[in-house]
Amino acid sequence: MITEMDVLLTRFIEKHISTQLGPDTIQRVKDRLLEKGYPLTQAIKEFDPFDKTLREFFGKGTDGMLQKVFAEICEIKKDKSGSFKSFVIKDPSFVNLILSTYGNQEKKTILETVAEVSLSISDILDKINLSQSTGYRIINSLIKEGLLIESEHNEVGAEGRKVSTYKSTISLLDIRINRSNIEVEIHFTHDIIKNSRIMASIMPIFSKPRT
Amino acid sequence: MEKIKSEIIPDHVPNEINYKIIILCFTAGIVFHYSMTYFSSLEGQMKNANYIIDVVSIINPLVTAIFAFVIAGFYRMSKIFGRAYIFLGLAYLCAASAESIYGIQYDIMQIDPYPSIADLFFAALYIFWIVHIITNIKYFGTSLEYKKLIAFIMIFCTVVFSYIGIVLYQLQLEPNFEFFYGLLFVVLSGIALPFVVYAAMIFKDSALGKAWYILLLAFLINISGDVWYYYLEVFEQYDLHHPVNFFWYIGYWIQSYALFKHKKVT
Repeated sequence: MITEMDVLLTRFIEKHISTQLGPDTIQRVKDRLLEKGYPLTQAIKEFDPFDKTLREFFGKGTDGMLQKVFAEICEIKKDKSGSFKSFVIKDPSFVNLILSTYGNQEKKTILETVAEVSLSISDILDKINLSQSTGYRIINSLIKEGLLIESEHNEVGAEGRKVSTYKSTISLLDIRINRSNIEVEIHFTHDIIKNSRIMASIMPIFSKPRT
Repeated sequence: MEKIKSEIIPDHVPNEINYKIIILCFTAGIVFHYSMTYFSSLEGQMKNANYIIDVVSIINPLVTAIFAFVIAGFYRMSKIFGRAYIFLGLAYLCAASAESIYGIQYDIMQIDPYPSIADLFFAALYIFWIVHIITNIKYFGTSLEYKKLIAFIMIFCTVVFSYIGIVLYQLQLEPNFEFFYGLLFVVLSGIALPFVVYAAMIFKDSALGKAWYILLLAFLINISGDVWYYYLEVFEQYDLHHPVNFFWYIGYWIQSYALFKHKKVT
């Protein structure tokens, strides 16, 4: 299952890996993935095909490369047991995405509404007092950006249809302003971390020391 | 159905080593070396043979440098490969400069070019080589295991102590200036070799790994030639027709092939 955390991280992994390897090399990786039936973005979201393809090109060098790519996107914080705790975002465009999302009153209200409970889109719209068209547009953009997650526990509507419910991907957000430096630390819900394909592949790599 | 699929999609990224090219490099090196030896033995042709050897010795690293810079150009948008190949191009450019100075001093000015200003460029060749490899290792490497570190130290010691041991044995434990001067370059070779081995291990079993195996072979040939050369200089046995030159000819040709393989796969 691809989680919203995977969706959220995919674009930054794609951006950094493309910058590091350059257009020619990334095109070769894309071509190879297409041979296997995956567009690059989809392969990164699923991660295993992406990881396997990188290993065909770079062997064990893939571990080092992914470490560096992730280090440019975020610093992974672990708890005492060594499990994933949170991300401190390093990528400026990622920081901007979070700040602009939570700086937007409507988006912030939606994310706050579903911070604790999962709600259907119509319930969200009822609570925040937005027009349907604006509300749908904003909610869709939040889903597309990976900031809203479809809940595993869907509601059953009046006609017996399953209705998708959504909640915020980020469970806790810390913003620290230290003179000119803005540090953003995000915590994800346990379910997202547990189901994330990217995290499942990345965490063992991060247990290796870096050169 | 499965069979059809495997025929269409290869199970790995193809980048096979063409051993014929490597054999061709060896053959061409041997043919060139012995034809020059024969040519120089003809009456009055020694000087002309020397000029040809000088020109080929300059062209070899120069062509490899151009090749490396062209590849760096292809990789200009890549943060990692672009920088790494500029360093490699600079390494070969230093080698070409060193060969040019050496040739001018040896054949035109007719002075003994050892020690020479050319040696600064030869030292820079090693430094840029090492920087090129470290650039790759820093990006693609993770951690260096203790066992590997020991193995690399042993490679370094083997290179350095084989030179020290053989030379001191021959000199009967009386080291001269040439011994210490040559030792500097042997130490640089000894540092470069484990780095190449480590890089080849990082890319092991991958398409890029093939290019690194070829580069490792080429470095081994070049480094062997260099260590032998510094040994010869201690005893003033080196000339342009010595078989050690063969190592440098084929070393650069095989390095060019490694560059081609690298670019072909990435």
